[in-house]
Parts: sequence; structure tokens; C-alpha cells
Amino acid sequence: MNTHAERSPAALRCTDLRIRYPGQELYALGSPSMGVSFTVNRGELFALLGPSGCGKTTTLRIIGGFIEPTTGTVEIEGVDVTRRQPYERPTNTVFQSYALFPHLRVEGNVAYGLKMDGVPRAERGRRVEEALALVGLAGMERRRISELSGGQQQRVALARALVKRPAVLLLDEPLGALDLKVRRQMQDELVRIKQSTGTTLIHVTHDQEEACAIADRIAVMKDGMIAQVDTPEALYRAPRNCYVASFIDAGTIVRGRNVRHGGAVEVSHPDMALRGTLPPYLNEARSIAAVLPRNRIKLSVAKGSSDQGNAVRGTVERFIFSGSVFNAHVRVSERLEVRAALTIEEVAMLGEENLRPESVVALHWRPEDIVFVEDSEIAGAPRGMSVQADSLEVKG
Amino acid sequence: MASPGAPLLTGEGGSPTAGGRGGLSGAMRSAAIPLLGRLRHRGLENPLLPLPAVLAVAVGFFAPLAVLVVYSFWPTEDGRIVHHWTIANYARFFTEAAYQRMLLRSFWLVALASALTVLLSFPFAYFVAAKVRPSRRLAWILVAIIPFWTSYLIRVLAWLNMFGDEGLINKALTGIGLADSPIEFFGFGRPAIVITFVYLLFPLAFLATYIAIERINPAMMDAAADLGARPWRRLVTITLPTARSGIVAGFVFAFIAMMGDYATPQLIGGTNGTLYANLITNQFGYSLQWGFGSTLAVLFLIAILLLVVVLRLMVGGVESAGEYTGGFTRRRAPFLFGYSVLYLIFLYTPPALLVLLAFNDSEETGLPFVGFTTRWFTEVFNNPVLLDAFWTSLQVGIAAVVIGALLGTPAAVQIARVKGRLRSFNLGMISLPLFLPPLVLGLAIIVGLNALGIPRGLWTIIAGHTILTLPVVTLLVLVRLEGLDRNQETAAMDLGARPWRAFLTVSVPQALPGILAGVMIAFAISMDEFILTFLVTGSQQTLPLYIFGSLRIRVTPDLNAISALMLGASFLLLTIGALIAIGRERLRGRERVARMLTAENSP
Repeated sequence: MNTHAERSPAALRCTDLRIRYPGQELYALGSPSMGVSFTVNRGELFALLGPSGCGKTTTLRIIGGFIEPTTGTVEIEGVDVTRRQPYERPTNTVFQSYALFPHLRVEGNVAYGLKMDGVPRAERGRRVEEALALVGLAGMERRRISELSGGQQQRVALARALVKRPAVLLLDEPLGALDLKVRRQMQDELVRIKQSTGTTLIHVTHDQEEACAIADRIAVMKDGMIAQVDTPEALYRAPRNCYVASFIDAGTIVRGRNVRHGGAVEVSHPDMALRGTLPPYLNEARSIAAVLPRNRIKLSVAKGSSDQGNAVRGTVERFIFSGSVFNAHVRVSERLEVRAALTIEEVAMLGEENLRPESVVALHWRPEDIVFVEDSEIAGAPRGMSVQADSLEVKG
Repeated sequence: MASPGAPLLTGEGGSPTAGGRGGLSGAMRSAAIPLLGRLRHRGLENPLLPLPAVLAVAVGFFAPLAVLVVYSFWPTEDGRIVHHWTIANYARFFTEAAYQRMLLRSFWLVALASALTVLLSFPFAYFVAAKVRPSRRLAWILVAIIPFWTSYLIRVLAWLNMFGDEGLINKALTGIGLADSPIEFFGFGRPAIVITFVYLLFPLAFLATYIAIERINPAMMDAAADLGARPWRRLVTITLPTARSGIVAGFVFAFIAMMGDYATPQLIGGTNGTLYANLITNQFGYSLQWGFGSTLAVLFLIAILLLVVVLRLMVGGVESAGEYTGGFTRRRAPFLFGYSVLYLIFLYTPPALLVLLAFNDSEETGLPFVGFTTRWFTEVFNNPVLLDAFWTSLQVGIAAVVIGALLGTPAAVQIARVKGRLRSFNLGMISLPLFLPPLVLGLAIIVGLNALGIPRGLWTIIAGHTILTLPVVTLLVLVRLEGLDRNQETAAMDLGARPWRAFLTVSVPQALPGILAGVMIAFAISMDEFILTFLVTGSQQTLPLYIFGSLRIRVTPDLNAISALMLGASFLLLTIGALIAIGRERLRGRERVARMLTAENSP
């Protein structure tokens, strides 16, 4: 739409956001040394991903203008809106609980924002119709909110926000209350709407699959801080630290004593030593852990061969079919359990009978498949997530 | 639903919601087991549980009401009702314009007062519900309600001190030179009635609007702001429409209560302040026109029902505005805060002055304050008539509350557990007395007693009060029981408790505050009741009757002393209760903050 798209400022720029409520020592967002900062480009779908309490909704509410940050600024299209009221900002929100107005019908809800802007009636009607068509609710104008299903209410909330053509559309876990099928459908629709309208979207979610499925870039948050901002592929390919690796479930995290010679590193665990070259961004990291990506680990039926540098033997503990792939949980020792993802074809080649619990198998991988991450504190591992047994172990 | 015949056979008896019908169809199927035996097996869902309460309301309320309707078609000759059907009473009302004017005038005056009540209490209710953090709300509510926990008549008395040519307001105005002579507006008359009504009925309007506003999902306000609505437009487009059922409920409650109040106009209305309620009671008093009085009462009921129906049609049904969320806006609201403080001053000034006057060493009630004395209090304790009246009130109150609780609690337990038509019927029957003015109930009772030829006495007061306390106890217990998670009892049964055990060990302890609150409120209502008591009493005198009797003659300093004592007693009781409740609430508040910090977006 804009011919100067590349030259114009970012759709959203958050700089050094911190929140600290009066009388409280801890920061609800950010830390004394660093606030939350990130930039979102025009037309991008940007996800804030993290467990409950990580600060993602707080960040969204700051952008929407519902909370004033203690420090930091929010710029939308180059304009500082930090001190502006919600009704003075070019943002619109799809709330977690939808927050539809039960006393208004569908069209009343969607037209509400336009009415507040003083849009003439005729144009209002046209735009409401347009917005409802966009979310697949054409012809539902006269319905009452209470007559709609959860998915339909969600669409009304989306239409109500979209109809104002916000510079940034904020989505606060809007799909959380929907069942899996409808959620998938809505995910596709969000992507479609993003493409057809060119709207910039900020999407808050705790579901890493959802974030990966729809987002252009993801900010993984933890304890009021951003742990990493990257594209979904980059997050999987190169998580920066243990937290990100475990939250997005990149693979088995192996922690151990570090031996470093310049760029070369060895993480030595009592059961295995993992060697490789450190990516440049980890040069400053104090401690390094290794990640064995699930889908890079190959399994073979153990034939008595001794463990080599890039192979290890173990007993199958669990073998789970998860819809598209098989997940094998292989216990190497009481300290370490390695998970491997196998395709249906791989399982067929190996023979399913060789993968039953108690079977002994060999795991191997190519050295270049090992991913190194910063060994961040596990004590603050995300709440509500089971911490993997292998990553709980005391550092060698 | 696959085979059309199946539901007919299995649907009814198996469903716990079918209530009495289920029992009947079951009886036909298995006649071997006696009906009563099987009803016993229904346990807490036994449809017989609410029966005593429903019967009590039917006998004590609907039967007399029916008699009242019958009487309205009978003429009175020589002060005696004649059993002869006629529409002469109605013809009299519709041919004499004075009666219709009286009804209309009362309607307008009371509507004005109700609207003012709602209007003035709305900003305050809004402030408490939306701007005060949840942990402090209870304290605000209690502070607002405490002045109203005292006797109705005493509140009227507090204003009686204020009005009149010699009243505190006019004395103050002339004293500081703002007026040369007493201003008529603050004399006894209609403006005085309206002001007193507003003052008397504020708690009803406040609570009704407060509950409605508190249920508004704060996310909805955020959404409106997000869509561009400024604070004022949010109020008009979101808050008012969503809270409208609460606002209208406040209006209706206030309206009905005021329409049935004949004491306030009599005391404060002066010479031109007679309202329709006075017209009705006069027919049963010295006019001895029972037939015509019944007609006036029936028309009064019809008018109120019409108003409720019209308002209901205008406002529409109630959408669920969402559950209570405990949310509030952090933003400060200095104007609302200031208004709220002013409102509290308005609430506290009359009773405060009343207490001050109780210590005034002057035979005249009123200012100036000539000296401090406690002799009026000594006089109160040495007044045998007064102590006797207090004792009667106590007896009535305890009896009415005990009977009300005995009938109401089992009813609430059963009603909380079932759904369907029987539930609606039982609930409607039991709660209806709440929604009609006590004036009508009182009249119905005396008419009913008259028809049966039974003399009035202490027991008629107790019976009347029971009809009033029963719905209060039932509803408060019911609300509490329905607020409990039914899964808790299921969990208890899963752990091996039989249904009764599960109920007694899981639900009852949690419902206890509700039962206690119900009992306390019902007791307060009974201690305070005047409108009905005055009509149904024989020769007995309760405390409110004594006060009214004395007020009609002259406001004496010892009346101020009684009022001060009653104020003090209720203040003390409430403060203790409030401190306990707030202590608990504060703990809960801290937990809430902790939860907010650890999980900002838990669903």
C-alpha cells in the first residue's frame, strides 16, 4: 500500500519497557538492568510466546495502553504513544475473553468503534459488512452475542477490532478457549487476514505450536524478559539458551562440564561427550549446554558395538505415536533420557518389535547436528512445564 | 433419542430434575415400594423439603390476599362488611376524581423520589464497584450500609429533627443569616417527604446498582476504550446499558417500598403530605370502610404490577453481564471520590445530629446545645412501657427468625439442587412476599383474620413477620449454596461420604456464613418492622410501635436517647462483624495479589 514501505518507520517499536508496581520490590516486567525491547515490521505477525506469568500479556496491555509502563516507550509508526489513552491509539485488541458487549448485537459490536470515531452511518454499514465477510460471518449482523458459538464470538471480536483498520492489531490469547479443530481453522484465518489486509499483528500465546504455525517471528519470554526473538525455524535450528530450547521442545538438553578451545567446545556428560564448534553468538556465554534435536537422532538396533563419540546405547522406555511421528524415549543411564523422533518409514525399517519398551537400541547422530545453547539457570524453568529429567541433573 | 419410545419410559423417573412428577410416574411403575419410603430415598432432593415453606406462604400470604380481593367486591354498611357482591367500591374509585388524583400524585412523587435515589446513588455505587480495589470494597459497602442498619422509624426521626420551621435546617439557615424567615421547602411537606425517602431508600438502590456494576466485565471497558470510547461515552454506551437491569431493579424496589409507606408521610408530610398509602390505611382505621379499603389496596397492587411489567418491557430481559471478576480500574477518579465522600457525609449527618441531641440537656429537642447530660438515657431505662415493648420485639424477632429458618433452610437446600418448573414454582412462591409492599401483606392478614373471626394478638405479629423473614432466609441460604461448586460434594462422595455426610461436612460449613447472615438480617428486619406490625397487632406494642406512638405526639429527648442506644448497638454489632469479615477479606486480597504476580494470565 505504502510505496515508501522500506523507508517508513517500523510498525511498532517497544524500547526498554519495565513495570514495577508501587510498594513491590520485584519488577513485574523487565529487570533493573534491562527492559523489554523489540521491533515489529509492517505486515508482520509477531508472537509473544511464554508460559503463564512471563509478562507477555502485560507487554500487550502496555502496547494497547491499558497499563502505563514504569519506564520505556512505545512507538507506533514512529509516533511515541506511551502516554496516550487506549482510545487515542491506532491499536485494537482482541481480548482473551473476547469482551463482547452482550447488550449489543453482532453489528452493534462491530460498529461500536466506528461510531466512536464518528464514521457516517452508510460507511459504517458497509465496513461492518466487509469486516464480517472477512471473518466469515457474512449475514450474521442481527444475531445476539449469546446465540453465537465460541468460535463465532471469536470472529466477532476479530471483526470488531479489524474494522477500525488498526496500525497494530493485538491478540491476547484469542484462540485459547477454542477446541483444537476450530483453533487450527482460526490460525489459518489469521494468516489469511494478515495477508489480505496487510495488518501488523501481535499475537500473545503460550502454545509454541500455534506460534510456530502462524508467526513470522517469535519473542520467547521468561520471567518478564525476552529470552530470544527469531523466526520459528531459527528458534528450532538455533535456540540461544536452555530455556528456549526446552520451551519450544527442541530436543534433549545435555548439560555437563565445558572444555573450550577458542571456537571449539566439548560438553562432557558422564554418559557422553558432545563436541562441536560454537556459533559466534555464544562466544560470550559463560556455560554451554548441548541439545540433541529429536528429528536428527537416528536409531538402530544395538548389535553389541561399543559406544563411539557420536553414538550411545540405551533402553527404550516409552514408544509413543503422536499422530505424525513416533517418539522414542530412550534411557541411556539414570541421569539421561534421550528422545528421538522417528518417521513411520524409519519405524517400519527398524521393525516395531525392536522398539518395544526394554529393547536395547543404539542412538547416533552427526556431530554437525548438535546444537549448542547457553546453559541458563534451570531453577527458573517455566512454571507448569515438566522439566526434563536430563536437564535437572547437577552439572558435571 | 434414537428410538422414539425410549424417553417416555426412562426419561422421567431417572431424571433428578423431574421433581414431584418423577416420583409419581415412579410410583405407578413400582407400587411395591411405598411412596413415602421412596421419597425418603430422594435425600436432599426430596420434593417434600420446600413444602412447609411453600405452604406457610400460601396460607399466610396468598389466602389472605384472596380474601382481600373478595372483600374489595363487598360493601361496608355501618362499619361492618356485608357479604353481598358488588362493584360499587370500584365504581366509587373511578367516579371520584380525588381518589385517582391521589393515586397519580403518589405515583409521581414516589417515582420522583425513587429516580432521585437511583440517580444520586449511582455515582457512589459506580465508584465502589469500579474504582475501589476489591479488598477494600467490603469496608466501603459496610460504611455506607451501617447508618441503615438501624430502625426505619429512627431514620425518619433523624429527619424529623431536621425539618420544620423549628427544624435544624431552617434554624441553621436563619441562624447564619442565609434566610430571614424559615424556608418552606425545608418545612414539613412534599419536599421533605422526597428528601427523607431518598435517604431511607438509598441502600436498596445502592446495592442493586452496585451488584450490577460489579458484574460488568472490566475487559469490556478496556475493549470500549480500545475501540475509541472516551470515559463518558463508555458510561453511556457500556456501563448504563449493561447495568440497566440493576438500575431498574433499584428503582422498582425503592418505588414499591415508598408506595407502601404510610408512616413517613404521616410524620413528615405535614398537612398536604398525605399519600395513597395513608388513604388506604385510613379506610381500615377510623373510616371503617374495609370493603373500599380492600378495593384501594387491590388497585394499588395492580398499579404496581403494571409499572413493573411496563419497565420490564422497556428494559428487556437480562443478559448475563458476566460473572463477578474482581477487576477494577487502577486510574484515580478524584471527582467520584469527592462525590462519594460527600454522599457519606449526607448519610451520617442526620444520625450524628440525633446522637448529639440525645445528650442535650434541654427539654426541647433541637439546637442550641445547652449542656451535656445522660439523664435521657436513665429515663429510657426507667421507662417500663418502653422496656416492655423492647421485650415484645425481642420475642417476636426470635420467634419469627427461628420459624423462618426452620422452614426456609430445608427449602433452600432442596431448591439449590434441582432445576425445572417445580424449582421455579417453589422459589417464586417463597420469594413473592419480598416483592410486594408489607402494607398489602398487613392488610391481607387483618382482612383474613376478620373473615375467620379470629382476634389479633402476639401470634399474628409473629406470623406476619415470619412471612417477611422466610424469603430472606431462604434466598440468602440459597445464594450461598448455589455459589458452591457442586463438584466438591461429588468429590466427597467419591472419597466415600454418603450424600448426607457430603452435604453436612462439605456444603454446610461453607454455607454457614450465608445461614448466619440470613438469620441476622431477618432478625434485624423483624426488630425494625413497623408498616405491617402496626396493622396486624392486637394490643401488643413492639419497640417501633412505641416509637411511632410517641413520635406522633411529640419528639421528646428520650426518643433521641432510644435512637442513640439502638444506633450504638447496631453500630457495635456491625463493626465487630465487619472487622471479622474484612480481616478475612484482606487475607484473601493478599492471596489475590500473590496470584496476580505469579500468574498474570491464568484463565
